[in-house]
Amino acid sequence: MEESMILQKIRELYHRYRMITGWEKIAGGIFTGLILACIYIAFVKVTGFWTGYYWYFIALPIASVIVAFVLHQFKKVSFMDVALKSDEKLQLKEKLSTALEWIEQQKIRTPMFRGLLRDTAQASKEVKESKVFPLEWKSPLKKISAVSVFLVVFLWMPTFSLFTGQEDPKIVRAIQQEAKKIEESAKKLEKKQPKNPANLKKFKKAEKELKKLASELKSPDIKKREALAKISRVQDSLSQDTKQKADMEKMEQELKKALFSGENKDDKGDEDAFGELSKKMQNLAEKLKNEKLSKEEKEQIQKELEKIKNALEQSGQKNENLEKALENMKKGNDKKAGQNLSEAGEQFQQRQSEMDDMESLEELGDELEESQDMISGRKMSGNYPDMEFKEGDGEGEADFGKGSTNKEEKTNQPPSNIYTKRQHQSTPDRRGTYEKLYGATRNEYEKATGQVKGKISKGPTIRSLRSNKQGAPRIGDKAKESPGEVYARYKALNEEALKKEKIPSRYKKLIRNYYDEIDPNQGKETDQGTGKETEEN
Amino acid sequence: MKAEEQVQKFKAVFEKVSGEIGKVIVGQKDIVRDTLICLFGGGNLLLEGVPGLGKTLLVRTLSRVLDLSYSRIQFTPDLMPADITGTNLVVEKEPGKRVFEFQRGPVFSHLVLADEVNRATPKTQSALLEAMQEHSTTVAGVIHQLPEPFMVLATQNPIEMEGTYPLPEAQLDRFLFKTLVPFPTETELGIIIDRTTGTETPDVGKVLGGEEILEMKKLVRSVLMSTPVRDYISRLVISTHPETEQASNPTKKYVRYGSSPRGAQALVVGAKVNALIDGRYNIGFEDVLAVAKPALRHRLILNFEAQAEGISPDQIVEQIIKEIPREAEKTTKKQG
Repeated sequence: MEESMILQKIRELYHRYRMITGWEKIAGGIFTGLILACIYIAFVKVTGFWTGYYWYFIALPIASVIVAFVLHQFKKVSFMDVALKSDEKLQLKEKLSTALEWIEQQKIRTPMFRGLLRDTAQASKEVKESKVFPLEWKSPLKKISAVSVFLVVFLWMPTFSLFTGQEDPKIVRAIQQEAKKIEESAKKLEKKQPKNPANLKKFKKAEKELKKLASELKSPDIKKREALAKISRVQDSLSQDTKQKADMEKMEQELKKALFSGENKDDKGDEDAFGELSKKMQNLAEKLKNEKLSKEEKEQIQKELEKIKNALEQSGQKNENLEKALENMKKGNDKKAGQNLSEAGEQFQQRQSEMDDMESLEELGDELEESQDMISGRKMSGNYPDMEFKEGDGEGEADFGKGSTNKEEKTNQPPSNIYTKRQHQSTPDRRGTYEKLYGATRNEYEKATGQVKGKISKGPTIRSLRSNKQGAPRIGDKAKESPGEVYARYKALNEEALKKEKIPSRYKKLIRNYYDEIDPNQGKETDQGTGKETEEN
Repeated sequence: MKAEEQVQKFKAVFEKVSGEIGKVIVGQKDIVRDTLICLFGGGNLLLEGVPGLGKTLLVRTLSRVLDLSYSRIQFTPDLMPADITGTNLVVEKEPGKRVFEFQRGPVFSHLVLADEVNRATPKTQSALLEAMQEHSTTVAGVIHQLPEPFMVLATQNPIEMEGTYPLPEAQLDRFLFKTLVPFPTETELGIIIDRTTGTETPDVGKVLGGEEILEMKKLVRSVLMSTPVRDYISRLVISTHPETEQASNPTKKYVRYGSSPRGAQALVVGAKVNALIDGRYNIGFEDVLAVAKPALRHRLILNFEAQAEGISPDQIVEQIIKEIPREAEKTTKKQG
């Protein structure tokens, strides 16, 4: 009688305990899922990386609940566990658990055991399952729910429109027009053959991505943020493929200097350095192979090759064939040198092809950049006369790298114009600007007495202090660094920044041109060369 | 007699004996409780405290309350084992006929008070070993059974260490409990002054005989213990051993040797008496914790670091209790 009563009570307690812990786990799962969903929203907000999978917000809490439920089901709880927990909660001093053990294991029924049975049965009559295991917010659950509510309020609600609101149909139309453009670009790329066959894979990949992007952008449910994120992703992929281009461009710049030092640089500015170099190498190779050259001519060729070698080294590269050719020339083995030069020429030709292919891919990136501008409203075009852009549309979207003010973006003007304008307005005379920059300091020094007022030898003089100061030297003093050295240092830093930062390729060109124009050595070379530049300035 | 009646009787007797002792001993309720737990648990008790706290008086009062024989042995450095156990003496039974006859020593009593036990030499101290564990003593190859119930109550003074011989571990282990006698509170001291300096002396009556005590000891053994509680006791004792994996952090740091299995037995027996005092038929975790300190404190041999830092065994037992979980789930899984 007492035994069945106790067993019945333990069963009831067991079911109650399972139910309560089950609910606790489910609640924990819901709140954990909410936290995960909020973290995902935060990630989208911070990075702008929008996958477009709205169901994540619902799926994460549901998945968490399922996981919690499965874990709950797998966690085995025995009657003894529940009896011990009940003993603890009801301060029964292990009456229930001891009685249960004796009943379950059919141990000897001693008078003591019978006494315990009667006592426990009496005590269990007053036990109410709901009081032993009440539905309550335990401390960990409280914390999880508080965090999730906080995150929902501060992260989810403001972005609710992400998955409920409809996008402006005008913007959707603009996106779809850009999708058509992208599709056309993909078709063009399909027809285009890379100059270097090794790049065929990259071209195919880019074509595939563009086509996929175009089809995604054509979707009528597409949203502005989503479209921008998708384009960004393809852009990133393209920039990954054209990573080496920055190095090659640098090398090309150095080579241009070396190759066209005696010629008008403006005329040769658009020439392909590697192509030219390849031709030059082939010519020299032919000369060395076929003709009997005088000592002076040989020296001339040797000098030219040395210059090219230095240029390559400056850009951190080497050409083994070129070096071998120089060695062979020194040894007087002209034919071998010619052969080496011929091979070097082929290598440079290959590089030129590589550059051209990268250029093609980079152009695609620029086109995508333009599409982004069109969609975000940074750039307006006559193509979309019916588009009305609200004030502030597209603000904060552009990123010109660290240190940029983004002021250009806020004016809603085409960026290319701004840059061109600034370039011509602010640096009409580079030499003059340089002098202006340092002239003021020099004048101040001229006006100053040059000494600190007070007793001599009681304190430091300006002269003694000046030695530690950076900046332009006083007239008559020797400069620590020549303008050329300062320029080279800044240019190197600029190149580094161009490599590291995410900057649209057309802006990279502008920046490089700017540096070329303020090059202090350029003026001298020009003066020595044609003298046109000096006359213009 | 039904179990309920037996348990109620036990509870009532316990309260009655405590009440009688309380007429003489002021305060010290925990000490009286520990003493009675040892009595009903069939163990021996070591009382440690500075002189004048009523240790001897407590034992004397107990002997007056219980209808049992009582002897007191004052331990001194020149005390010999034979002075405790007794010896064979040549006795002239008939004229001209002399025989050896065993003269019983003071150990042949129900209650033996070994006063200032640490003043005797280890040889003499060890004379009590057999008596305490097996309730018998061997003299000249003859085993003499001691009367039942038998209990040794020893006292020792922790301050005067000069000319003393600290009890060896084997001897200490044979005490069920070691109880620390604290100094009385201000109120208690006032009552002690009143009681001991007036003309009236409190009178106590005999309330419990030897047969009843033996019955109660039997009842103690029949108290139920569940497996989770038993496993918890095992974990507690194992965690006092620094060389084991289950050793708790304070054990690893401060303990040289942990408790022997007698420690676990002491915990169980003590917890059983504790449960009966509370009128219950089974022991719970709380009963174990209630007797953990007196049952384990003399079984933990501390290392030099603990002594240097002034760490007491009680502090280590407290830490072990905090660290060792009841882990009911783990226990039941093992069963399954």
